Amino acid sequence: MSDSAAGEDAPLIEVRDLERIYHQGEVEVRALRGINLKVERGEFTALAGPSGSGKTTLLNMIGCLDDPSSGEVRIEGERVSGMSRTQAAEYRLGHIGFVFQAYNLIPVLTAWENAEFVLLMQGVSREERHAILDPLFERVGLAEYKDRKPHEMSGGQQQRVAVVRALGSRPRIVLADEPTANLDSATSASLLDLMLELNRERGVTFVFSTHDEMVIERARRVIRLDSGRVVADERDEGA
Amino acid sequence: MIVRLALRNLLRNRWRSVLTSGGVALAVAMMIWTVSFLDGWMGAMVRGSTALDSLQVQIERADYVEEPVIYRSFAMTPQGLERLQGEAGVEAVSARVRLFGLLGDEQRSQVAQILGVDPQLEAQATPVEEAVVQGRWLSEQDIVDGPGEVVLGDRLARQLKAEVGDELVVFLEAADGSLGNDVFEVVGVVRTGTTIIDRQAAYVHLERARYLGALEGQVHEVVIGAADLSQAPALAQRLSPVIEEIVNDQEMAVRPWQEVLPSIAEMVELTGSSNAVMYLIIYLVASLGIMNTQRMSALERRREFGVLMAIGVSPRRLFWIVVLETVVLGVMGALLGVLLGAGLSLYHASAGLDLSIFSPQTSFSYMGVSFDERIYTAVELRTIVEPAVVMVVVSLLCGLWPATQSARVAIAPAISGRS
Repeated sequence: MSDSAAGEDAPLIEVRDLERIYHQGEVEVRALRGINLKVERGEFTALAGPSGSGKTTLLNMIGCLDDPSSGEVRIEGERVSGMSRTQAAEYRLGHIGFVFQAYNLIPVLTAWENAEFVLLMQGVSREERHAILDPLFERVGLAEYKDRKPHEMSGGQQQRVAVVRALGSRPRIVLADEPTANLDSATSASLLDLMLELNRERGVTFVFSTHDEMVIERARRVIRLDSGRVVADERDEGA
Repeated sequence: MIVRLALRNLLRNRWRSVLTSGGVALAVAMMIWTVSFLDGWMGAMVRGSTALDSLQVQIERADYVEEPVIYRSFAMTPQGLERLQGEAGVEAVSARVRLFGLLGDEQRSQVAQILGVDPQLEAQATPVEEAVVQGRWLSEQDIVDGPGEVVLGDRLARQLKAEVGDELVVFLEAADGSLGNDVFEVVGVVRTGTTIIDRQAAYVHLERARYLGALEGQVHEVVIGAADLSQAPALAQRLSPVIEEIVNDQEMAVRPWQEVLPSIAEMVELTGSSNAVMYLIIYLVASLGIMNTQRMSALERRREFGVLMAIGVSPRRLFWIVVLETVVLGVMGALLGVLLGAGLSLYHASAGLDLSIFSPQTSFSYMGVSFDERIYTAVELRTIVEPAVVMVVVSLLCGLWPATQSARVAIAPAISGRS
């Protein structure tokens, strides 16, 4: 079956026998040891586990930010692992949004420009950019903060801008690496609620890594990792 | 957005950008001014060297160039001179008889070059009349009866202890082998700054010199003044067929000043080469500054570059973002350098650069040519545009390495701050 033909029926994300080995000098570090998992459209999934369990490495593989040592990642049936750097960049631009632990907004751009940047690269017209981003800024409660630069905003506000940036590109998947790690509990809860609501409203699939139990409690599916292996895959059937 | 991003990145570390652009500006300004100064100086040297003696194009018999003996002359009529004067690019024409003889009185004598000239044409073609420091220039018409007029170079006059009004006698071997002699009255003394003229020249009327040297209707050389020094070779080439028509019984040599004064031409060429070395050093220093700035800036922003690529910026686009930043730095510096360099050069082109601050003398001599204490820069569009354009190209090249490094950044480690 061809990749494109498989697209409609295939899981949104499919990870097969994924391994990632790093070499630190003469030491071999096996960050992922044969991961297999599938994520369906619209899921709100947490990758949980202690530090060094392989959560971030797995997210990087799914987001085409790093190549596996063996195995593969497919998104909508299309093999994304092993793409060239340019192909991967184009794929991410069209399909994947990212939210990073340290917000990682471009410091010289305003909140609006940070969110607008991806749409500009997608070639979206000015009117359409406003049509997409204005409601999102309203939705995350930052309509008044569009002209502020990252250093003029709190951590929570910056992370919400990062969510707007991730969703503004109209991706199939939003990958969030420890999105609440730098936030206090109240702000974390508020951000999680926002992501959950956006997941419900827009049907965007969220996959995020965390070791925060409060975050894990809100996820509808929790894939637990330990030492580079999936040790549990729990679904909240009632959600 | 890419341009906005590049500009804002440059403003992020204002001092670093200002210092780098300032360095570029200084380099460009320095090159513009130095080249303008050297061009001005070289121009002054060439004009000084050619103004009085050879001028820009010199016409002689070919065998006279090989060995300048008195009988290797050629016939030149006023009509022939008029024809040469009418050629494009010719500003002035003067025909000369050049004789070597003993000049002096009963007390002392010196070997001198007797230059037989048409006073009016010589004064139009050369600044000799302005160089008169005692007495006057030759009168338009020679005195037929009695002593002829002579204008001496000031050193020759000093050696002969001759003053205006004194009579001197000339002895020489004429073209026909006879002994030529005549009496002249000193009517003026010139100080030209050109050693060979000041030490040896004795200007007399052309007809008188012809008579003295038994060279009726003949001259040894015709000198041509040209507007553009650099165009002298082309002018010489154009005049060659014309002179062949005028003087059809002799093999003639039409030489630009570059051939007449090869040492000066070599000096000008050498200055061009040393300019190239100077360019190279300045560009090298400036480019190291730019490259260092951009490399530092790129290293500091590895995480940011990782994020940009994660959200979909292709390596190629990231490469051009960094290159664009470097080019903007170079362009800003080059523009500032043009303003500074051109401004200073234009100022010195009109006001001149007073070298008397380095020396108490009012003039100085170099390679037998005297210079005024003021040197005027020669400003051309090329002198201004070239350094600026090359610096922009150099800055673009300087951006290639940091840009390539940035585009190759490993995304995941960069985002996590591990690289």
